[in-house]
Amino acid sequence: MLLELEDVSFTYMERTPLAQTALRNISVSIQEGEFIGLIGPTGSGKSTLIQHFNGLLIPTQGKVFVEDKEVGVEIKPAEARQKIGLVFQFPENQLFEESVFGDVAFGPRNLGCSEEEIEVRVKKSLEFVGLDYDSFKNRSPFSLSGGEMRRVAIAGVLAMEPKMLVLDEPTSGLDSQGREEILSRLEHLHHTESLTIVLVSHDMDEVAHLADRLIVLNEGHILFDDEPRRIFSQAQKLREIGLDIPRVTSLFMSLIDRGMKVPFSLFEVEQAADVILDLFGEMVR
Amino acid sequence: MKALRVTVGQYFPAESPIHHLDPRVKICLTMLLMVAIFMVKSFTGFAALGLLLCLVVYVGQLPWSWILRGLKPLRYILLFTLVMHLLFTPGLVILLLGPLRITQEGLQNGLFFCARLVLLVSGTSLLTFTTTPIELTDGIEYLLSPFRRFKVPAHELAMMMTIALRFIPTLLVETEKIMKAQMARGADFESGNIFRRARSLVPLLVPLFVDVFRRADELALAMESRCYRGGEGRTRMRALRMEGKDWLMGMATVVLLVLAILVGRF
Ligand SMILES: Nc1ncnc2c1ncn2[C@@H]1O[C@H](COP(=O)(O)OP(=O)(O)OP(=O)(O)O)[C@@H](O)[C@H]1O
Ligand SMILES: [Mg+2]
Repeated sequence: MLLELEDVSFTYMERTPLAQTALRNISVSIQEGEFIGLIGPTGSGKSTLIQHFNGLLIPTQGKVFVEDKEVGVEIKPAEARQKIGLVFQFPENQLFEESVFGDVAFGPRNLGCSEEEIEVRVKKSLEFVGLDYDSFKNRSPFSLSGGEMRRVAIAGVLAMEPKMLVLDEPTSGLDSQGREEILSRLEHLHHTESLTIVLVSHDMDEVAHLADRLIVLNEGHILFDDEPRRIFSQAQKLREIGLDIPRVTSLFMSLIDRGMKVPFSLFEVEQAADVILDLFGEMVR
Repeated sequence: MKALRVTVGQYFPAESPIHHLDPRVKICLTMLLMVAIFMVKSFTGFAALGLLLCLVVYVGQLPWSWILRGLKPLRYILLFTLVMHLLFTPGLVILLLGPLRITQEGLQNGLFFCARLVLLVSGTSLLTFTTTPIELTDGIEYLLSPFRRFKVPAHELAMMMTIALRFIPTLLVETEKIMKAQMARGADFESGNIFRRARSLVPLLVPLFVDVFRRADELALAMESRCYRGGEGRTRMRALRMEGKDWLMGMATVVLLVLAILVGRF
């Protein structure tokens, strides 16, 4: 098992009047090669949860295992951080070097890689996020567009060559093109490198067709942990906790309500279009 | 974040007569208290002042643990003060520890200065415990405004303080975020010699400064787009108004302080 959480609870500012329990009895395991969507309303504990994956937060109760070794006991947090790459929300706010190269090289340098190795890794990571190495390496990260900055920051984590990439709302604040670019890059990484990916989001449309497993968090505990199609069939429950279902699913549900015979578990716009065209065909005939 | 656990300079929300007292009165009384602490020359005087502070803590519904925690950062300074006085004051020897001579005067002086420090720190922290930062800066602005004719920019000073205070928690949160993001990339802020540690701060400080400048820019824009142009002719939403109870409490405290000084002069 790549990552395993065993009955993890976490309280911020424990033993103070401001104590706030953000996670309650979370047990979850993630295998190599999975693409997981982590969704939940604001304040449900998504960001808190993923910081437990690589030892940035130590659970108040429970255990975290990376490759079957307990974090902080059998494996140092620093080592866990290399294996589980974490991209924070608005990662462009962490850029600091004079050049894109220097910034992406920060991680491998901390790992003690040789200069040649660093160059290879930087090159590879920049290509992965779709930035041309030669034209970007010497530019200042602060002169880039928002979407480019974000991709540089993601490359900075990829350069650590993690086994699993965890991204906290990587598309928030980007326009639809920047959004598309990042998502397609992630999909590409998942397919070509079979990189394990956890994508935190509160946009259902985004995760619905990318992830093959969804974890829904609400008020610090896991509400669902299943295939997307099975979860979206619980639309009512999702709406109750303030989450939307994908637009296509929502459209099809209205169609079903009106007595149309359409499959329920669809969220790809193209497939939906085909189904609707067929439906029209039948009606005309 | 350890910094969050320090209570000095923090506000303790409660609905007490002390909390509702006009901030100007509180600031003046705190200054008077400091004068009193320096004028008092005997332990009786300190006891009287201490009693007065206890009364404020009680009426202000403040938890004792906060007062104690506020004094905690002081403990080494207190110890140092006491030891220095114990060891280096000539006078009547009461204890011989090898080559060290501890005198009665040393003990007295040591305790005296420690008491003075404790009273000073807890006295001033009572002000911040019971007054919100906004009230505090409002009060300071009022008190400084008579000096405007000597070109003291009272409003601007107060506004700067308000903004600075407002952004301390924000920046703490931001610092923690950036630290974590860099740690996720293998940064190590804790080990190594002093040069390595200083260098390891670069990945933290650069993004932090970028963030601060961006926020300052945005705030300036937001203020300007709401036509902010300094204190000239500005009226306030929460005007401070001295009421009967403010005068009363203020006078009562002044009387008590003067009494404490009189008791403590001899
Ligand atoms: N540093 C902190 N100190 C204290 N409480 C915190 C801290 N960070 C988060 N919390 C609290 O923990 C809970 C979970 O927060 P978290 O940031 O994990 O939510 P989230 O699911 O990521 O939300 P969002 O979608 O808004 O990013 C919230 O109630 C929040 O107020
Ligand atoms: Mg979050």
